[in-house]
Amino acid sequence: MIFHNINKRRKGQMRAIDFVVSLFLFLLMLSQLLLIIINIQSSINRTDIGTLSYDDLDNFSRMILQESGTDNWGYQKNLPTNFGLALSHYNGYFTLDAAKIARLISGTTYPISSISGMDNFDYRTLKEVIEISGKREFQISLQPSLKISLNLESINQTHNKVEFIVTNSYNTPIFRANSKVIVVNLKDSNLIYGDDLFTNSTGGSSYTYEVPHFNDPNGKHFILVIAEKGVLWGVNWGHFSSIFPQAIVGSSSNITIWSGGINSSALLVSDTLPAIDTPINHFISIIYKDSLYSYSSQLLNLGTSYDGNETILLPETGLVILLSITQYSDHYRVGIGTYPAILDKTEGQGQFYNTLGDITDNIRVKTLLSKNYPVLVRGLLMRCQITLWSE
Amino acid sequence: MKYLMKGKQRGQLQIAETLVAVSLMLVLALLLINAADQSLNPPQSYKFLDRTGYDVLSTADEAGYLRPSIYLKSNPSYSDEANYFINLLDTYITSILSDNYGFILIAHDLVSGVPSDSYTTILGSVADIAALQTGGEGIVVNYHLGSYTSAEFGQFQNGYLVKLYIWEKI
Repeated sequence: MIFHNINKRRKGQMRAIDFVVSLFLFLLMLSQLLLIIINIQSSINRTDIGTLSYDDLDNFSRMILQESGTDNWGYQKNLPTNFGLALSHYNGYFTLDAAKIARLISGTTYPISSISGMDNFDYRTLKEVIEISGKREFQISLQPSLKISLNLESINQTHNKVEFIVTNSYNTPIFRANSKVIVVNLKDSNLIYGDDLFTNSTGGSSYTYEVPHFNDPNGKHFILVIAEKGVLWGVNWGHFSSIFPQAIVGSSSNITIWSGGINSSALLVSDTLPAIDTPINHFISIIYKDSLYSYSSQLLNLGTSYDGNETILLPETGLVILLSITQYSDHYRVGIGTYPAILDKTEGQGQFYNTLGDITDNIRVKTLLSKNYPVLVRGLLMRCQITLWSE
Repeated sequence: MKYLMKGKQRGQLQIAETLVAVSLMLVLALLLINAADQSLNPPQSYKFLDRTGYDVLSTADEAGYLRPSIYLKSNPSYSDEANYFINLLDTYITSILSDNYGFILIAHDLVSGVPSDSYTTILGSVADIAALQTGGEGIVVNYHLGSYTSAEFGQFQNGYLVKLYIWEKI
């Protein structure tokens, strides 16, 4: 009887312990399962809702900047199967292909013919090529390290003054930046180079110049300012508001000037004029600046031609500023571009090209991340900013 | 006797219930901790910063102003030139990194290929170094410089280990 009771007690204890252990194991498994479900849900959210991490952005940016892809990207009649802006990527630094960037801006292949089967190689096409999800968007800007802000002032009827401040991208003044003011005389399509200037401790400098054709209503002009400090550089342009409506400069002119058909050192200058009257004069002015603070220029007279395609061989490094100056019966139109291209984020005076991709106000941005990459283009140090966001 | 045995079994069941309750609470606590960890401390990776730091140094080296900054700094007769290049380097690194990151750049001498303990601060103030010590998480990028030959400044045979510390300001 006693043995029977002991056995029963032991059986009862075993049942209780079994029950506790199995329940504990069950709960442990259940908790693990819950954790796994949470993690899976989290990763689903990352792709579906579009939560971005800096690692995602960095991986995406490096895909954009990589050198792979066809050498003649955008130069062929077929769509590229992969995409990369770099000419080379060696030991951590990207050397971008100025020609590829130029083709990307123009949205066309060499010279202006479209890629087979489509009118333009535009942002949407690029999204298809790099297979980025429809909910994710991106923006590429490419800018020099130095910023120049301009202020133009009329001293008297014959003389004007341009004041400018050179800063870095965080508005810190740059002291002793070597600067040059160039007056672009639209009536003669010639360039008037100012003296070499050095910025003061607040990054400022000024230059007074004689107004070209000041007593002639057709004597319109605008200003280019280039600043450099070693490998760091910047460029900007500006004009008096009084030149309107007789002269329209920049993107408002509806003139697209772009370059770089063949490779980084063979420059194809091509411009497209707005479909209005045939121009009385059509010049393409090219300012070449190498790394030794020296300038040279070339003027191509295209007469009354509607558009122009000119191939010019250049050294492999240096900044090129391109001006398409057209004169019509009652006004001038001037398209401005650079090689390598400057892709501005802001619109208005001093703008060179729009960024590729645009964050518009009518989208609901859930996550937006941005990152800068140092790049070399034609030997010039630039800052490539890539922004990735999800709607 | 039977009554006593039933009482014991009941006691065991109570213990089991307590254990189950504790287990449930533990699981709940684990889940809560996990959720809080996910929301308060999102997984942060500085791999991108590490790569950017290396990009910055290698691009500055390729562009030709990292070496003058380091080598001329150690030569008092070139202090003006060193300051010029260091100023460029500072401007450039600042333009690449977001302003929510702090950075300092130091250079260790290489003695028979081994970095010495002593170092020269190329970029960064005492305040920056203090911020590094008390700041948030960050990374250090190592970059080796070999000999340097310049038409303007001559030959420098000694090598350097350049270290770029980048951290998130808090």
